[in-house]
Amino acid sequence: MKKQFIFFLFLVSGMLSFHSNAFAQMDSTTKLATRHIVPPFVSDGQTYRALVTSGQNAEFHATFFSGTTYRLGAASGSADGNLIFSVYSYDPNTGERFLLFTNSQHNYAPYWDFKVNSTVEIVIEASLNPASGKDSGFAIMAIGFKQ
Amino acid sequence: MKLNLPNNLILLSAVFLMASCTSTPDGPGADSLINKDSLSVTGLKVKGQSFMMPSPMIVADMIKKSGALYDKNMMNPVSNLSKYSDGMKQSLNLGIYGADLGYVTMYENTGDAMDYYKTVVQLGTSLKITGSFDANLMKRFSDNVGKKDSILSLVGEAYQRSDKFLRESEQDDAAALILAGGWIESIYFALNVYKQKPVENVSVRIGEQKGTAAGIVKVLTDLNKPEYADLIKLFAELNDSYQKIQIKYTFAEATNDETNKVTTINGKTEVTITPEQLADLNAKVNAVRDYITK
Repeated sequence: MKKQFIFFLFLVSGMLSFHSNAFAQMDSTTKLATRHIVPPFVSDGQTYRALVTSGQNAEFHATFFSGTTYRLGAASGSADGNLIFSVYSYDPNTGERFLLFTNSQHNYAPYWDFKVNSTVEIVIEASLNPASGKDSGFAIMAIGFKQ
Repeated sequence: MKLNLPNNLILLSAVFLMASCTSTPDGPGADSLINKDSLSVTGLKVKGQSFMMPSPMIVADMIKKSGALYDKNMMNPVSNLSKYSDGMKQSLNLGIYGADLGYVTMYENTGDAMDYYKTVVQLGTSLKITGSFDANLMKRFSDNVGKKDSILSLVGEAYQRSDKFLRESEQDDAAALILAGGWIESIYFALNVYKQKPVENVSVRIGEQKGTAAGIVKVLTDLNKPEYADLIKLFAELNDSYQKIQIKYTFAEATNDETNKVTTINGKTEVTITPEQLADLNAKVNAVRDYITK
Protein backbone atom coordinates (compact mmCIF):
# COMPACT_ATOMS: atom_id res chain seq x y z
CA MET A 1 0.00 0.00 0.00
CA LYS A 2 2.85 2.36 0.90
CA LYS A 3 4.54 1.69 -2.46
CA GLN A 4 1.29 2.44 -4.24
CA PHE A 5 0.97 5.71 -2.37
CA ILE A 6 4.53 6.72 -3.29
CA PHE A 7 3.79 5.84 -6.92
CA PHE A 8 0.60 7.91 -6.69
CA LEU A 9 2.59 10.91 -5.42
CA PHE A 10 5.18 10.36 -8.13
CA LEU A 11 2.49 10.43 -10.83
CA VAL A 12 0.88 13.57 -9.44
CA SER A 13 4.20 15.40 -9.21
CA GLY A 14 5.06 14.19 -12.73
CA MET A 15 1.83 15.58 -14.10
CA LEU A 16 2.28 18.91 -12.38
CA SER A 17 5.84 19.17 -13.58
CA PHE A 18 4.84 18.36 -17.18
CA HIS A 19 2.12 21.00 -17.24
CA SER A 20 4.27 23.61 -15.57
CA ASN A 21 7.03 22.86 -18.10
CA ALA A 22 4.58 23.28 -21.00
CA PHE A 23 3.35 26.62 -19.67
CA ALA A 24 6.92 27.79 -19.02
CA GLN A 25 7.76 26.99 -22.65
CA MET A 26 4.68 28.83 -23.87
CA ASP A 27 5.59 31.79 -21.66
CA SER A 28 9.06 32.09 -23.15
CA THR A 29 7.70 31.71 -26.71
CA THR A 30 5.00 34.30 -25.97
CA LYS A 31 7.70 36.73 -24.81
CA LEU A 32 9.55 36.10 -28.05
CA ALA A 33 6.43 36.84 -30.13
CA THR A 34 5.40 39.94 -28.16
CA ARG A 35 8.80 41.58 -27.76
CA HIS A 36 8.41 43.49 -31.02
CA ILE A 37 5.05 44.99 -30.03
CA VAL A 38 6.60 48.14 -28.62
CA PRO A 39 5.62 51.84 -28.91
CA PRO A 40 4.31 53.30 -31.15
CA PHE A 41 2.55 49.92 -31.43
CA VAL A 42 0.02 48.95 -28.77
CA SER A 43 -0.88 45.30 -28.18
CA ASP A 44 -4.45 44.28 -28.94
CA GLY A 45 -4.28 42.50 -25.59
CA GLN A 46 -4.37 38.94 -26.83
CA THR A 47 -1.93 36.29 -27.90
CA TYR A 48 -3.02 33.70 -30.41
CA ARG A 49 -1.77 30.15 -29.99
CA ALA A 50 -2.03 26.90 -31.87
CA LEU A 51 -0.24 23.62 -31.68
CA VAL A 52 1.32 22.74 -35.01
CA THR A 53 3.12 19.65 -36.16
CA SER A 54 5.50 19.33 -39.07
CA GLY A 55 3.68 19.76 -42.38
CA GLN A 56 0.56 21.23 -40.75
CA ASN A 57 -0.73 24.79 -40.81
CA ALA A 58 -2.50 26.69 -38.06
CA GLU A 59 -4.93 29.33 -39.28
CA PHE A 60 -5.82 32.62 -37.65
CA HIS A 61 -8.66 34.75 -39.00
CA ALA A 62 -8.83 38.50 -38.42
CA THR A 63 -10.09 41.76 -39.83
CA PHE A 64 -7.51 44.48 -40.51
CA PHE A 65 -9.18 47.89 -40.54
CA SER A 66 -8.45 50.69 -42.97
CA GLY A 67 -6.19 53.52 -41.90
CA THR A 68 -4.41 51.32 -39.34
CA THR A 69 -0.90 49.92 -39.40
CA TYR A 70 -0.60 46.55 -37.69
CA ARG A 71 2.47 44.76 -36.44
CA LEU A 72 2.46 40.97 -36.40
CA GLY A 73 4.94 39.17 -34.15
CA ALA A 74 5.31 35.41 -34.44
CA ALA A 75 7.36 32.75 -32.72
CA SER A 76 7.67 29.05 -32.02
CA GLY A 77 10.06 27.41 -29.58
CA SER A 78 12.90 29.46 -28.16
CA ALA A 79 14.49 31.14 -31.19
CA ASP A 80 13.50 33.46 -34.02
CA GLY A 81 13.01 31.89 -37.44
CA ASN A 82 11.28 28.70 -36.27
CA LEU A 83 7.92 29.83 -37.60
CA ILE A 84 6.82 30.55 -41.15
CA PHE A 85 3.86 32.89 -41.30
CA SER A 86 1.96 33.87 -44.42
CA VAL A 87 -0.71 36.55 -44.62
CA TYR A 88 -3.56 36.25 -47.12
CA SER A 89 -6.44 38.56 -47.90
CA TYR A 90 -9.73 36.75 -48.07
CA ASP A 91 -12.81 37.41 -50.17
CA PRO A 92 -15.74 36.64 -47.85
CA ASN A 93 -18.08 36.21 -50.81
CA THR A 94 -16.07 33.65 -52.76
CA GLY A 95 -13.74 32.24 -50.11
CA GLU A 96 -10.80 32.98 -52.42
CA ARG A 97 -7.44 33.78 -50.77
CA PHE A 98 -4.67 36.04 -52.08
CA LEU A 99 -1.12 35.89 -50.75
CA LEU A 100 0.04 39.26 -49.47
CA PHE A 101 3.16 38.34 -47.57
CA THR A 102 5.18 35.38 -46.34
CA ASN A 103 8.17 35.74 -44.05
CA SER A 104 9.79 32.79 -45.85
CA GLN A 105 10.61 35.30 -48.62
CA HIS A 106 11.99 37.75 -46.07
CA ASN A 107 14.60 35.79 -44.15
CA TYR A 108 11.97 34.35 -41.77
CA ALA A 109 11.52 37.74 -40.14
CA PRO A 110 9.98 37.37 -36.65
CA TYR A 111 7.77 40.44 -37.14
CA TRP A 112 6.36 42.48 -39.99
CA ASP A 113 4.17 45.58 -40.35
CA PHE A 114 1.02 45.82 -42.47
CA LYS A 115 -0.31 49.16 -43.63
CA VAL A 116 -3.99 48.83 -44.46
CA ASN A 117 -5.58 51.19 -46.99
CA SER A 118 -8.96 49.50 -47.08
CA THR A 119 -10.44 47.12 -44.52
CA VAL A 120 -9.69 43.53 -45.37
CA GLU A 121 -10.44 40.08 -44.04
CA ILE A 122 -7.17 38.34 -43.27
CA VAL A 123 -6.09 34.74 -42.88
CA ILE A 124 -2.71 34.10 -41.29
CA GLU A 125 -1.23 30.68 -41.84
CA ALA A 126 1.54 29.55 -39.49
CA SER A 127 3.70 26.48 -39.89
CA LEU A 128 7.00 25.21 -38.54
CA ASN A 129 10.10 26.07 -40.52
CA PRO A 130 11.51 22.70 -41.66
CA ALA A 131 15.00 24.17 -41.12
CA SER A 132 14.25 24.49 -37.40
CA GLY A 133 14.45 20.74 -37.03
CA LYS A 134 11.31 20.82 -34.88
CA ASP A 135 8.60 18.25 -35.46
CA SER A 136 6.02 20.09 -33.39
CA GLY A 137 5.58 23.27 -31.38
CA PHE A 138 3.30 26.08 -30.39
CA ALA A 139 2.77 28.79 -32.97
CA ILE A 140 2.24 32.01 -31.06
CA MET A 141 1.16 35.23 -32.73
CA ALA A 142 0.82 38.71 -31.28
CA ILE A 143 -0.79 41.73 -32.92
CA GLY A 144 -0.22 45.38 -32.24
CA PHE A 145 -1.64 48.46 -33.87
CA LYS A 146 0.13 51.76 -34.43
CA GLN A 147 -0.96 54.75 -32.39
CA MET B 1 -12.93 9.77 2.57
CA LYS B 2 -10.71 6.78 1.92
CA LEU B 3 -8.75 6.81 -1.30
CA ASN B 4 -9.22 3.83 -3.57
CA LEU B 5 -5.59 3.79 -4.65
CA PRO B 6 -5.63 1.14 -7.41
CA ASN B 7 -8.50 2.88 -9.23
CA ASN B 8 -6.94 6.27 -8.71
CA LEU B 9 -3.64 4.96 -10.03
CA ILE B 10 -5.31 3.74 -13.21
CA LEU B 11 -7.10 7.05 -13.61
CA LEU B 12 -3.99 9.08 -12.89
CA SER B 13 -1.88 6.94 -15.18
CA ALA B 14 -4.36 7.61 -17.97
CA VAL B 15 -4.34 11.34 -17.22
CA PHE B 16 -0.55 11.33 -17.02
CA LEU B 17 -0.31 9.62 -20.39
CA MET B 18 -2.70 12.17 -21.86
CA ALA B 19 -0.59 14.96 -20.39
CA SER B 20 2.54 13.37 -21.82
CA CYS B 21 0.92 13.18 -25.22
CA THR B 22 0.02 16.81 -25.29
CA SER B 23 2.15 19.04 -23.16
CA THR B 24 5.70 19.29 -24.39
CA PRO B 25 5.63 19.79 -28.11
CA ASP B 26 9.03 21.43 -28.17
CA GLY B 27 10.67 18.69 -26.16
CA PRO B 28 12.87 16.01 -27.63
CA GLY B 29 11.05 13.29 -29.48
CA ALA B 30 7.77 15.10 -29.02
CA ASP B 31 6.54 14.29 -32.51
CA SER B 32 5.74 10.72 -31.61
CA LEU B 33 3.68 11.79 -28.62
CA ILE B 34 1.57 14.56 -30.02
CA ASN B 35 -2.16 14.16 -30.13
CA LYS B 36 -2.97 16.71 -32.82
CA ASP B 37 -6.25 18.01 -31.45
CA SER B 38 -5.94 17.69 -27.73
CA LEU B 39 -3.92 20.71 -26.67
CA SER B 40 -4.39 23.28 -29.36
CA VAL B 41 -4.37 26.21 -26.96
CA THR B 42 -5.80 28.61 -29.48
CA GLY B 43 -7.42 31.98 -29.45
CA LEU B 44 -11.15 31.59 -29.92
CA LYS B 45 -11.46 28.44 -31.93
CA VAL B 46 -14.01 28.17 -34.70
CA LYS B 47 -14.06 24.86 -36.51
CA GLY B 48 -10.36 24.35 -35.97
CA GLN B 49 -9.47 27.91 -36.86
CA SER B 50 -8.38 30.59 -34.49
CA PHE B 51 -10.58 33.63 -34.58
CA MET B 52 -9.16 37.04 -33.73
CA MET B 53 -11.69 39.44 -32.36
CA PRO B 54 -10.94 43.12 -32.91
CA SER B 55 -9.61 44.75 -29.79
CA PRO B 56 -12.00 47.32 -28.28
CA MET B 57 -9.07 49.70 -28.29
CA ILE B 58 -8.84 49.56 -32.08
CA VAL B 59 -12.51 50.56 -32.35
CA ALA B 60 -12.04 53.25 -29.67
CA ASP B 61 -9.12 54.59 -31.69
CA MET B 62 -11.29 54.68 -34.82
CA ILE B 63 -14.03 56.57 -32.92
CA LYS B 64 -11.55 59.14 -31.67
CA LYS B 65 -10.15 59.61 -35.18
CA SER B 66 -13.70 60.17 -36.52
CA GLY B 67 -13.73 63.45 -34.60
CA ALA B 68 -16.65 62.44 -32.35
CA LEU B 69 -16.77 64.13 -28.96
CA TYR B 70 -16.32 62.27 -25.67
CA ASP B 71 -19.70 61.18 -24.30
CA LYS B 72 -19.70 59.64 -20.82
CA ASN B 73 -23.37 58.62 -21.19
CA MET B 74 -22.42 56.05 -23.82
CA MET B 75 -20.61 53.92 -21.25
CA ASN B 76 -22.07 51.42 -18.82
CA PRO B 77 -22.16 53.30 -15.48
CA VAL B 78 -19.74 51.90 -12.90
CA SER B 79 -22.64 51.91 -10.43
CA ASN B 80 -24.13 48.96 -12.35
CA LEU B 81 -21.32 46.72 -11.13
CA SER B 82 -23.30 45.41 -8.13
CA LYS B 83 -25.91 43.94 -10.50
CA TYR B 84 -23.55 41.33 -11.88
CA SER B 85 -23.34 38.37 -9.55
CA ASP B 86 -23.01 35.32 -11.82
CA GLY B 87 -19.91 34.35 -13.80
CA MET B 88 -21.52 34.83 -17.22
CA LYS B 89 -22.68 38.39 -16.53
CA GLN B 90 -19.40 39.23 -14.79
CA SER B 91 -17.37 38.01 -17.78
CA LEU B 92 -19.55 39.81 -20.33
CA ASN B 93 -19.44 43.03 -18.33
CA LEU B 94 -15.69 42.76 -17.84
CA GLY B 95 -15.60 42.99 -21.64
CA ILE B 96 -18.03 45.92 -21.60
CA TYR B 97 -16.09 47.82 -18.92
CA GLY B 98 -12.80 46.95 -20.63
CA ALA B 99 -14.07 48.60 -23.83
CA ASP B 100 -15.26 51.58 -21.74
CA LEU B 101 -11.78 51.82 -20.25
CA GLY B 102 -10.27 51.76 -23.74
CA TYR B 103 -12.67 54.55 -24.74
CA VAL B 104 -11.93 56.87 -21.78
CA THR B 105 -8.23 56.23 -22.22
CA MET B 106 -8.34 57.25 -25.87
CA TYR B 107 -10.05 60.48 -24.86
CA GLU B 108 -7.57 61.01 -22.01
CA ASN B 109 -10.30 61.52 -19.43
CA THR B 110 -8.21 60.71 -16.38
CA GLY B 111 -10.92 60.85 -13.70
CA ASP B 112 -13.22 58.46 -15.52
CA ALA B 113 -10.26 56.29 -16.51
CA MET B 114 -9.46 55.65 -12.83
CA ASP B 115 -13.11 54.78 -12.03
CA TYR B 116 -13.32 52.34 -14.92
CA TYR B 117 -9.94 50.84 -14.15
CA LYS B 118 -11.04 50.18 -10.55
CA THR B 119 -14.27 48.60 -11.84
CA VAL B 120 -12.34 46.35 -14.21
CA VAL B 121 -10.04 45.35 -11.32
CA GLN B 122 -13.04 44.53 -9.09
CA LEU B 123 -14.65 42.37 -11.76
CA GLY B 124 -11.33 40.70 -12.51
CA THR B 125 -10.96 39.90 -8.80
CA SER B 126 -14.52 38.49 -8.66
CA LEU B 127 -13.64 36.25 -11.61
CA LYS B 128 -10.41 35.30 -9.81
CA ILE B 129 -8.25 36.68 -12.62
CA THR B 130 -5.96 37.61 -9.76
CA GLY B 131 -2.55 37.88 -11.40
CA SER B 132 -3.85 40.17 -14.13
CA PHE B 133 -4.60 43.14 -11.96
CA ASP B 134 -2.02 43.02 -9.22
CA ALA B 135 -1.01 45.88 -6.93
CA ASN B 136 2.02 46.66 -9.06
CA LEU B 137 -0.06 47.14 -12.23
CA MET B 138 -2.56 49.23 -10.26
CA LYS B 139 0.26 51.45 -8.98
CA ARG B 140 1.72 51.83 -12.48
CA PHE B 141 -1.75 52.78 -13.69
CA SER B 142 -2.12 55.44 -10.95
CA ASP B 143 1.39 56.75 -11.61
CA ASN B 144 0.73 57.11 -15.33
CA VAL B 145 -2.76 58.61 -15.32
CA GLY B 146 -2.73 61.38 -17.91
CA LYS B 147 -0.09 59.73 -20.07
CA LYS B 148 -2.21 58.18 -22.79
CA ASP B 149 0.45 55.98 -24.39
CA SER B 150 1.52 54.51 -21.05
CA ILE B 151 -2.06 53.87 -19.98
CA LEU B 152 -2.89 52.23 -23.31
CA SER B 153 0.13 50.02 -22.91
CA LEU B 154 -0.96 49.07 -19.34
CA VAL B 155 -4.54 48.36 -20.48
CA GLY B 156 -3.09 46.12 -23.22
CA GLU B 157 -0.89 44.39 -20.63
CA ALA B 158 -3.86 43.77 -18.32
CA TYR B 159 -5.85 42.32 -21.25
CA GLN B 160 -2.95 40.10 -22.22
CA ARG B 161 -2.49 38.83 -18.67
CA SER B 162 -6.24 38.11 -18.33
CA ASP B 163 -6.36 36.32 -21.67
CA LYS B 164 -3.32 34.21 -20.76
CA PHE B 165 -4.68 33.39 -17.30
CA LEU B 166 -8.10 32.37 -18.63
CA ARG B 167 -6.66 30.10 -21.29
CA GLU B 168 -4.12 28.48 -18.99
CA SER B 169 -6.84 27.81 -16.44
CA GLU B 170 -9.01 26.42 -19.26
CA GLN B 171 -11.66 29.10 -18.86
CA ASP B 172 -12.15 29.57 -22.59
CA ASP B 173 -15.81 30.37 -22.03
CA ALA B 174 -14.96 33.32 -19.79
CA ALA B 175 -12.38 34.53 -22.34
CA ALA B 176 -14.98 34.29 -25.14
CA LEU B 177 -17.62 36.13 -23.09
CA ILE B 178 -15.19 38.93 -22.20
CA LEU B 179 -14.30 39.42 -25.85
CA ALA B 180 -17.97 39.24 -26.93
CA GLY B 181 -18.87 41.88 -24.32
CA GLY B 182 -16.02 44.10 -25.48
CA TRP B 183 -17.08 43.77 -29.09
CA ILE B 184 -20.75 44.62 -28.45
CA GLU B 185 -19.73 47.74 -26.49
CA SER B 186 -17.47 48.82 -29.36
CA ILE B 187 -20.27 48.49 -31.90
CA TYR B 188 -22.64 50.27 -29.51
CA PHE B 189 -20.15 53.17 -29.36
CA ALA B 190 -19.77 53.23 -33.14
CA LEU B 191 -23.56 53.29 -33.70
CA ASN B 192 -23.95 56.12 -31.18
CA VAL B 193 -21.13 58.06 -32.78
CA TYR B 194 -22.88 57.63 -36.14
CA LYS B 195 -26.06 59.18 -34.66
CA GLN B 196 -23.97 62.09 -33.41
CA LYS B 197 -21.93 62.37 -36.60
CA PRO B 198 -23.46 60.46 -39.52
CA VAL B 199 -20.35 60.18 -41.66
CA GLU B 200 -19.71 57.42 -44.13
CA ASN B 201 -16.46 56.14 -42.68
CA VAL B 202 -18.18 55.31 -39.37
CA SER B 203 -21.09 53.48 -41.03
CA VAL B 204 -18.63 51.59 -43.22
CA ARG B 205 -16.61 50.63 -40.15
CA ILE B 206 -19.79 49.32 -38.53
CA GLY B 207 -20.61 47.27 -41.64
CA GLU B 208 -17.08 45.88 -41.81
CA GLN B 209 -17.79 43.95 -38.60
CA LYS B 210 -19.95 41.50 -40.57
CA GLY B 211 -17.36 38.72 -40.38
CA THR B 212 -16.81 39.29 -36.66
CA ALA B 213 -20.56 39.08 -35.96
CA ALA B 214 -20.71 35.65 -37.59
CA GLY B 215 -17.55 34.55 -35.77
CA ILE B 216 -18.92 35.49 -32.35
CA VAL B 217 -22.08 33.42 -32.87
CA LYS B 218 -19.95 30.42 -33.88
CA VAL B 219 -17.61 30.85 -30.92
CA LEU B 220 -20.44 31.17 -28.38
CA THR B 221 -22.34 28.25 -29.92
CA ASP B 222 -19.18 26.11 -29.86
CA LEU B 223 -18.95 26.57 -26.09
CA ASN B 224 -22.05 24.36 -25.89
CA LYS B 225 -23.42 25.85 -22.68
CA PRO B 226 -27.24 25.69 -22.31
CA GLU B 227 -27.16 28.69 -19.95
CA TYR B 228 -25.87 30.87 -22.83
CA ALA B 229 -28.94 30.09 -25.02
CA ASP B 230 -30.64 33.49 -24.56
CA LEU B 231 -27.38 35.33 -25.18
CA ILE B 232 -26.64 33.29 -28.32
CA LYS B 233 -30.17 33.91 -29.63
CA LEU B 234 -29.67 37.67 -29.33
CA PHE B 235 -26.25 37.53 -30.99
CA ALA B 236 -27.70 35.30 -33.75
CA GLU B 237 -30.44 37.88 -34.43
CA LEU B 238 -27.77 40.57 -34.63
CA ASN B 239 -25.76 38.38 -37.01
CA ASP B 240 -28.85 37.87 -39.22
CA SER B 241 -29.07 41.65 -39.60
CA TYR B 242 -25.35 41.86 -40.30
CA GLN B 243 -25.52 39.26 -43.06
CA LYS B 244 -27.84 41.54 -45.08
CA ILE B 245 -25.02 44.04 -45.52
CA GLN B 246 -23.22 43.77 -48.86
CA ILE B 247 -19.44 43.65 -48.91
CA LYS B 248 -17.44 43.51 -52.14
CA TYR B 249 -13.71 42.80 -52.11
CA THR B 250 -11.38 43.56 -55.02
CA PHE B 251 -7.85 42.23 -54.77
CA ALA B 252 -4.81 44.29 -55.76
CA GLU B 253 -1.16 43.24 -55.39
CA ALA B 254 0.41 44.24 -52.08
CA THR B 255 3.65 46.23 -52.05
CA ASN B 256 6.56 45.23 -49.84
CA ASP B 257 9.09 47.61 -48.31
CA GLU B 258 11.91 45.28 -47.31
CA THR B 259 13.98 48.00 -45.61
CA ASN B 260 11.25 49.10 -43.22
CA LYS B 261 9.62 45.67 -43.00
CA VAL B 262 6.25 46.97 -44.13
CA THR B 263 3.70 45.50 -46.52
CA THR B 264 1.04 47.83 -47.83
CA ILE B 265 -2.24 46.05 -48.45
CA ASN B 266 -3.81 47.58 -51.54
CA GLY B 267 -7.00 45.56 -52.04
CA LYS B 268 -10.29 47.40 -51.74
CA THR B 269 -13.38 46.53 -49.75
CA GLU B 270 -16.65 48.27 -50.52
CA VAL B 271 -19.41 48.15 -47.93
CA THR B 272 -22.98 48.97 -48.90
CA ILE B 273 -25.07 49.71 -45.84
CA THR B 274 -28.43 51.48 -45.90
CA PRO B 275 -29.93 53.72 -43.19
CA GLU B 276 -32.58 51.03 -42.62
CA GLN B 277 -29.88 48.42 -42.05
CA LEU B 278 -28.12 50.75 -39.60
CA ALA B 279 -31.40 51.28 -37.71
CA ASP B 280 -31.92 47.51 -37.60
CA LEU B 281 -28.37 46.95 -36.32
CA ASN B 282 -28.92 49.64 -33.71
CA ALA B 283 -32.02 47.87 -32.36
CA LYS B 284 -30.30 44.47 -32.28
CA VAL B 285 -27.12 45.80 -30.63
CA ASN B 286 -29.22 47.60 -28.00
CA ALA B 287 -31.08 44.33 -27.30
CA VAL B 288 -27.82 42.42 -26.73
CA ARG B 289 -26.29 45.19 -24.64
CA ASP B 290 -29.44 45.59 -22.51
CA TYR B 291 -29.41 41.86 -21.83
CA ILE B 292 -25.79 42.07 -20.70
CA THR B 293 -25.85 45.26 -18.67
CA LYS B 294 -29.31 45.43 -17.11
